[in-house]
Amino acid sequence: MNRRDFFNLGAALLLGAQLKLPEHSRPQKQRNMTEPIIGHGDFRYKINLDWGKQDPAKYPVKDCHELVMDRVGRIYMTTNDTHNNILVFNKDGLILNAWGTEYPGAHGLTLADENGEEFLYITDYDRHEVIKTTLTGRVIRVFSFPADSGKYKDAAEFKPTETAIAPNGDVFIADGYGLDYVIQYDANGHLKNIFGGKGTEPGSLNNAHGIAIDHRNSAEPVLLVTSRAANALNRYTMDGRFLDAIQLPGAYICRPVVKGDHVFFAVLISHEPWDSQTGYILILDKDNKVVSCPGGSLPHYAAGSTQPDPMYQTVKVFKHPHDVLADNDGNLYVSQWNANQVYPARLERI
Amino acid sequence: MLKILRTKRLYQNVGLVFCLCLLSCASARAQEFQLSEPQWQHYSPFFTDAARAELKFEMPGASIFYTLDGTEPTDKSALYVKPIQVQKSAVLKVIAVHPDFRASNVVSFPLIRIEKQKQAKNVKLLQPSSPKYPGHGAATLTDLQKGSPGLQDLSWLGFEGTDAQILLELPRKTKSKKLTISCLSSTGSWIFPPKGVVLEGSQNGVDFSPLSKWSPQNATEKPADGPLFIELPITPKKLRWIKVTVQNYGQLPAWHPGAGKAAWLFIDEIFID
Repeated sequence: MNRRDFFNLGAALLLGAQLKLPEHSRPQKQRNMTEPIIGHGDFRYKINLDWGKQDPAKYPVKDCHELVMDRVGRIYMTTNDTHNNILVFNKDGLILNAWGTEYPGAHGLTLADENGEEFLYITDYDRHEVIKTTLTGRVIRVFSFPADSGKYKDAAEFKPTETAIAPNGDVFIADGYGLDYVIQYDANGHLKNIFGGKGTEPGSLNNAHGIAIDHRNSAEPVLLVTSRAANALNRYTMDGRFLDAIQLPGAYICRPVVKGDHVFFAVLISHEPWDSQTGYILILDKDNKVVSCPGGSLPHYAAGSTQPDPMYQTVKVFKHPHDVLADNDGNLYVSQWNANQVYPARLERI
Repeated sequence: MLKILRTKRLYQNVGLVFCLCLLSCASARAQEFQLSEPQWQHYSPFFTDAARAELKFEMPGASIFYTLDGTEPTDKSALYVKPIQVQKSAVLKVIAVHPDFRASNVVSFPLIRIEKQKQAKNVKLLQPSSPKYPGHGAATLTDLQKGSPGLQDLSWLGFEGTDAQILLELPRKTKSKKLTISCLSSTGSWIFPPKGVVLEGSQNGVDFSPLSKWSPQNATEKPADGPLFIELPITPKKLRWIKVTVQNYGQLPAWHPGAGKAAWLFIDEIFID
C-alpha cells in the first residue's frame, strides 16, 4: 500500500465512523476516545506520564524531589538515590548527564545565575547541609547549620529543604524539615538574618518547605515561603518582615515556582495522612488567586472571600507531586515523592 | 493477479490500522486515569432524627451517582443533585463518573441512627487519653460527632501505646442489644485498629463480670485504612454499668516505617442500641 492509499483509507474509516455514529447517538465507547485533559481556564494540559521514563537499572531513583532548568534548556532533578543524585534531562526526557553520589538527602534544587555563570544549590536534609555546585557537580561552598544564630542546639536540628538566591548573592535557606526558620546568608556565607520558625502565630511557619523570590513586582520583590502543613503561602519583605499569608485550604504546597505572571506549585497531598496519594498541581495568577488546579478541583471563591474553597484531588494522575517546573512553552514538568520510583512527567499545555 | 494480491494486502492493512486505532485511542489513552473519590461537604454518620449528607466533586463534566440500599453504585444509579436526607440507618455508597476518565472507587459511608434514650448517662475515662489528642474529655465519646480525617478537631480521643478503659452508666429501663465503638485505622499516621475489646457488665457499679469480647479476624495482616465500627453484643437486660476496655495494637509491626514504636488508638464515639 502506498502513502496515498493509506490516507484514503484513513479518511474512509473516519468518514464511515462519522456516518454511522452521529454525535447524539454515539455510544459510551466512542466518547471514551477523547484524550483526558486536566486543569482549568488558560492552564489546561495533556498528560505525558512517560516523559522522563528511564531504565531503573541504569538511572535509579527513589523520591524525585525537585527540578530546575538551565539557560540552554537542560533540566536538572534531585533524587535521594545516591547512585545518581542529579539527573540531567533534555526537553525530550532523554538523560544527558547523571552525577552525585554523596547526597543521601538530596532535596531542594535551585539554579542561580551569578555574574553570568550558573550554579546549583542542593539542600540535603540528611547531611544537614546546603551544597553549592557547578552544573556538573564540582562543589563550590557548603553551608552547615547556623550555629551563630543561637536557635539551634546542633546540626541534627537543621534539615534544609529549599533555597532562594537574591540578585545580590544573598542565600535564603528554608529549614522545612527542621525548625522551620528561614536563614539568610550573604554571598560569602556570613549569617545576616533568621526569621519565621515553627509555630501557628502570624509569620511563623509549619513545614517551611519551599522558598522563592517573587520578582513579579520588580520594584518591590518579596519572599514567598510555603507553610506546607498549614496550607498557606507566607509573604515576607526581603529583610524578613512578615507581610501576610495566602490561605490555600486543601493544598499542601511544596515550593513556589515563579514564572512570568504566575506562581506554580506541586501540591503534595489534599489532606493527611502524608501518604494519602491525593496530590495535584496549583497555579496562582498575578493577584495570587488560584486560576487552575490540574488534577484537582475547579477553583472557586465564595462571594467576598479572599481564600478559595477547600481544594482536593479529582483525578489520580499524580500520587505525591513534589515539584513543578514551567518551561517557556508553558509545559510543566512534575517530579514526585513516594510514588513507586516514578520518573518525572510532563504536562503539555493546550 | 497482481491486482488481487494488492487488494488482499490492502485489507490486511485496513485491519491493522483499525486495530492500532482502537488500541491507541480507546484503551491506552482514555482509560488510563481514574477519578478520585467524591468529597463530603457536611457529614456525620451519627444522627438522632434525620441524616443529611452533602457531597461535592467540583470537576466540569463529572457527576456523582449513589445508592442507599447497599448495592454498588454505577452510572445507572441515582444521580446526586442535592443533599441526601435519610431517617433510617443506611449505608450511602457513591462514585464519581466522567466520560474521559475511569469511574472513581466506591466510597461507603454508614449513616447510623442513634436513639438518644438508650445512650449512656455518664461516661468516665478510667485511663487518660494522650494530652496530644484530648478531645473534650470523656464526653467526646457520646457527642454524636465523627472525628475528622485530619484528626485536628477535638472529636477524637487518641491513646499512644496505651489501652482505653471507659465506664458507661446506662439509663434505667432500657433494653440494649449491642454496643458499637467507632474508631479509626490509618496506618500511615501510626493509627491502628484495636488488638481486642472486652466488655464487662455490672448492676451495682462495683462487681463486674464479662459480657463479650471482640478481636480482629486477620490480626496478622496489614489493617485496611478507614473508619471502623466494632460491634459487641450485650445480653443481660438489667445492666446499669458497662466497662469497655479497648486494647491498643501495641508495637508497630515489622513492615511499618515506625516498627517497634507505640501504635496509636483513636476512638471518637461509643453508642448503644
